[in-house]
Amino acid sequence: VLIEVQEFFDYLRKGEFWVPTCISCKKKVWPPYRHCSVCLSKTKLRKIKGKGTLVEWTTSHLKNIQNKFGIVDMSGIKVLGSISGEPITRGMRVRMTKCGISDNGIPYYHFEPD
Amino acid sequence: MTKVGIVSSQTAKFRKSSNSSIFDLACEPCIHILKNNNLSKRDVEAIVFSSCSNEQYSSTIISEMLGLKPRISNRIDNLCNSGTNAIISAFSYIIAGLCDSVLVVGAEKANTMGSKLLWDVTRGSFNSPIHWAAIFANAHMTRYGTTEEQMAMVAVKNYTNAKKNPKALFGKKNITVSDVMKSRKIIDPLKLLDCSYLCDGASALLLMSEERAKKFTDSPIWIKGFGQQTSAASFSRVIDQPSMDAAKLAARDAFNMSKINSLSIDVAEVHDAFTILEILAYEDLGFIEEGKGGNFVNQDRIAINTRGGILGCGHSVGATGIAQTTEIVSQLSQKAGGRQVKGCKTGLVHNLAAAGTSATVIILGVD
Repeated sequence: VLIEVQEFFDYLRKGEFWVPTCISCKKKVWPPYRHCSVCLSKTKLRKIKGKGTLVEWTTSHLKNIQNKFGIVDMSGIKVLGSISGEPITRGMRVRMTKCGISDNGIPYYHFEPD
Repeated sequence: MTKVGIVSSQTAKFRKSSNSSIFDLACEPCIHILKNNNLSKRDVEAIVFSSCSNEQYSSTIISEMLGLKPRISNRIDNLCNSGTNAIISAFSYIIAGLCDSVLVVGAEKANTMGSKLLWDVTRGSFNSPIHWAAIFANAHMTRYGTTEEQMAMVAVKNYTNAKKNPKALFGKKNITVSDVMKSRKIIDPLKLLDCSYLCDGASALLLMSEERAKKFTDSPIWIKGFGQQTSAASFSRVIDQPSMDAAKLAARDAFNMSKINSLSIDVAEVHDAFTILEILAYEDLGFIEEGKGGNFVNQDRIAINTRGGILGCGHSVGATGIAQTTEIVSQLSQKAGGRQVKGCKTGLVHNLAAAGTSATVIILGVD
């Protein structure tokens, strides 16, 4: 997919969530790119804590997919991932407990209440 | 500045699938335009093809199939927004003086790559358009109290309009609000009948400079103004609000350029790939204030999605923006048959791609 940030996928495949951060302005670059889309400097991957806030969520009735999913704001970057645990409420604190690349090559991120 | 007019338009019937290649689909409306207008092939100086198909050299193959030798031949790929972007590119060639006529054609197969969005790793495994549409719908309901019934009313309105459009994929479907509410749940709050259907289709327009257009027809439909905005590519960069900034900015520019305001619009085609998107469009275009779009569904000030919209016609991704525009051209030319809006003079096209990361608004008029 994004050959420039192959390392992002290498870490993701190992279940680790590393996000490019600008070496100059320090902003996180998401989706992952080799350069910062604000100041155009190079980026460096950093492992992030994986904590965030659930902005919005809903329930899927499609088969073969985790049924609850939502957008999590992780200090400025937004990630769409599955959610488990009860109760699920908008604005709750969550953390990324799993991530990886599934057999079909698609990334996945999973969150639980923090 | 010279004006640019649309002198001929044609949309092929949208179908669930067909044996036709993308090239055969694309040629269908073009052949109609070329044969029915007493056009010499030399009258087509440029061709712009709109599609998300991954076929190589496509605009040039279509030129060859039609026996055209255009000076300019290229393809525009911007997902659902491709067709409207192609029209603006054609407009620019004419305004720049590179040519006096451009054939704009859009075509797509139902299994298009245009629905895959593989680059967007920010949404993980929730990577279909319905995932972001459901999030927008939920956010709009939470923040503004919009209801599932109001979204269902969008589907009922557009399927009802489609019954008067012989080119619509779902021209024979009778549905009620209750049918939408009871249709299969897909992703809350969206149900099967809140969603459009990807299909085979094609649509084409012939644009000309003012001087050439006036020689060709007594009643061209003029492009009065447009706005285009690209805000991002990835869903996660535009999800801050239950509205679409790119559409608001495109609308602002289109109204400024045309010196026409939203109250003067008689007919509009707005992007309704999901019912919630039509409600967002009402707000982003300034037809009604933000948050109140749900109350605007049953208004009668502006005729919206008279061809049946994307819901009623089917979504043929690269053809959609052009098919929307052919409807406004038919309406303003008073040639929309059983769905004609009487006396309409000013029309608007609103189109989006990928969670509203990019948008185009075009304003058309009779003078």
